[in-house]
Amino acid sequence: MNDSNKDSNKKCPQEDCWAPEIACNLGWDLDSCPHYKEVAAHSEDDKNTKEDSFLLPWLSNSLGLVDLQFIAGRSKPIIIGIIGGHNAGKTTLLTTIYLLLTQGQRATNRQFGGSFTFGGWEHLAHALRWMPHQAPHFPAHTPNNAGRLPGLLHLAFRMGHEEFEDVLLTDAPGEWFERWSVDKEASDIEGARWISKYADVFMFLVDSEALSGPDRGEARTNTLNLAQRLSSELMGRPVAVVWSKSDIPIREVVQAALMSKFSELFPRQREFRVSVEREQSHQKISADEFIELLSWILEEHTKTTSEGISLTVQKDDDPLLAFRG
Amino acid sequence: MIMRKLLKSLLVIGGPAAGKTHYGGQLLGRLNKGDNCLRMIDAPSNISPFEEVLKRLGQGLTAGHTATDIYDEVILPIERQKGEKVELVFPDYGGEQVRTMMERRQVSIAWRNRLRESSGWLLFIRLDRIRAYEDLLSRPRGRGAPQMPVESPEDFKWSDQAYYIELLQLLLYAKGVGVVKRVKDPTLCVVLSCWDELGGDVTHGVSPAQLLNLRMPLLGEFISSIWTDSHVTVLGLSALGKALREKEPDEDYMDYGPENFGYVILPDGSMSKDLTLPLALTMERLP
Repeated sequence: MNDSNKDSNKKCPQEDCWAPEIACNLGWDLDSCPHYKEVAAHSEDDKNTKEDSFLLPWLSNSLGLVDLQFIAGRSKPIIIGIIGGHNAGKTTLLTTIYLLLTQGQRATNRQFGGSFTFGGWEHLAHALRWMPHQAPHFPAHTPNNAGRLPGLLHLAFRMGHEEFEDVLLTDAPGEWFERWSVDKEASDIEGARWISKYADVFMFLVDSEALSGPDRGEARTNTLNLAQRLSSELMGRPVAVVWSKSDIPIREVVQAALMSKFSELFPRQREFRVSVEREQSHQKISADEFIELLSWILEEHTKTTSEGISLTVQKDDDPLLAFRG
Repeated sequence: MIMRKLLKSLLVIGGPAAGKTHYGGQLLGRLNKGDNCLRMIDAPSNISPFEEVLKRLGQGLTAGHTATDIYDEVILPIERQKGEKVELVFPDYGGEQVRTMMERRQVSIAWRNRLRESSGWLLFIRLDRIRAYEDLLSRPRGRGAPQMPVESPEDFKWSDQAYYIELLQLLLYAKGVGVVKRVKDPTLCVVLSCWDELGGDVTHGVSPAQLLNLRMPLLGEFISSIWTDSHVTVLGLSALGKALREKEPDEDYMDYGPENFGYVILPDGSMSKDLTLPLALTMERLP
């Protein structure tokens, strides 16, 4: 979803290979790779790669589409599309879920089974932690055009005794969805279209703060436009309607009208109310609603058949070289 | 050389200051003594780093930081009383290579080979050094609270839980082990080192596995979901029995000798003075 932003860092001439940042997409040692060896002769990065070492195929940052081949090799990942406008609280919601898992909270019937994006998760979690000389602050705005972000954050779970599932949560800027809600064919929102096409299940964030403020009329219109766009692309997939910053009261009439509309637009929906803030600092935040949300999302996807993600397959003399599961 | 190829190997893994050094020294003393579960067979090629540790401990002093540029790996060939033999490998004696692998996202071929040959891992973790931070959920700010200055990005560090899980993922990948099915090979022994430094109020009435789950719940859950129950052990270890200093000798150590100090906390919470038990229990569970 952010691949076009990474071209300046790309070294290998093969379309989907990001060596030497991560391991060769075709499974070659970089010294032997017929595509990379000419680049290596001039590459500073390659000089930093010791000859007697091999690279890991994941960096631990949030993932781009080319990174998915590594995960898709072991299971069909479940994609959770997190939809919401600018400042709706998408990244804070993601971060909160991760923090709760680190504290030992569990989604129903699931044990944590790892992540290939710990670097990404920890960067987000760092913002919400009390550190020496630092109070928690909300994670930085998800960038629209820089580095490897926005991207996909990964969690793995063990269900029951043996079953194993990979889950990818989208972390995309609200601007994408704001554009998508008014023009779904806009040229610069490929990521939003990808999410709408491939997500198995959605979290639709409704910003309680915006809906209670002086610009609530505009916020209401934007929320409805986005809900209608999502509805038109839904094809039966479930939606968790997440009222973020829910400690802020919204006028009854605004809330009732939106709830009624959501029921109409999202045939398979459930509402959740979450917040990581309280009026007073001594009021404790309950994990229950967040965990219920995660559990519902993970259970609902099993009743859904979404379009399988489309990955580019590199062909070489031996196609099995591409498999690293 | 031929015998080494036939032996299963156990790797001792942990970052810098995880307690491997003191354990290695104390273990050497116990293995040489031969009155525990395990004994040494043959003469290891190079045990000088552990002999230096033993010498320091005999003086009642802590061994200090390991000079990682001098020693690469230490291998101890050992035997159970029942006759089973393994080699205990400290592939990264100083713990620096682990840190480098994590930072550079590269695994050396030597490490990969060691991992592929290994049947069991002893992962050393110091719970008393785990950083625990409150967050917005456990300690809300109060809406409208003024923003405080934010640290520079250089201050960012991973949580210890994330670090250890990533390390295990990295090691499993390098060994070529998938996790979709629960793992039996390698057997894992989590050694919660410097147990005495946690304090009696922390360790009283809890088993090592319970304490791991309390202090590092995500790591505990990861291990439990990835390995089969029968191939994981969590132990507490106090290799020295008490904290020593670098310059002021401990009278008891000088009087009684280091071989009379140190203990292991077994999975049921009971205590044993046999410091070879982490190896013996891991050997019992080898694939």
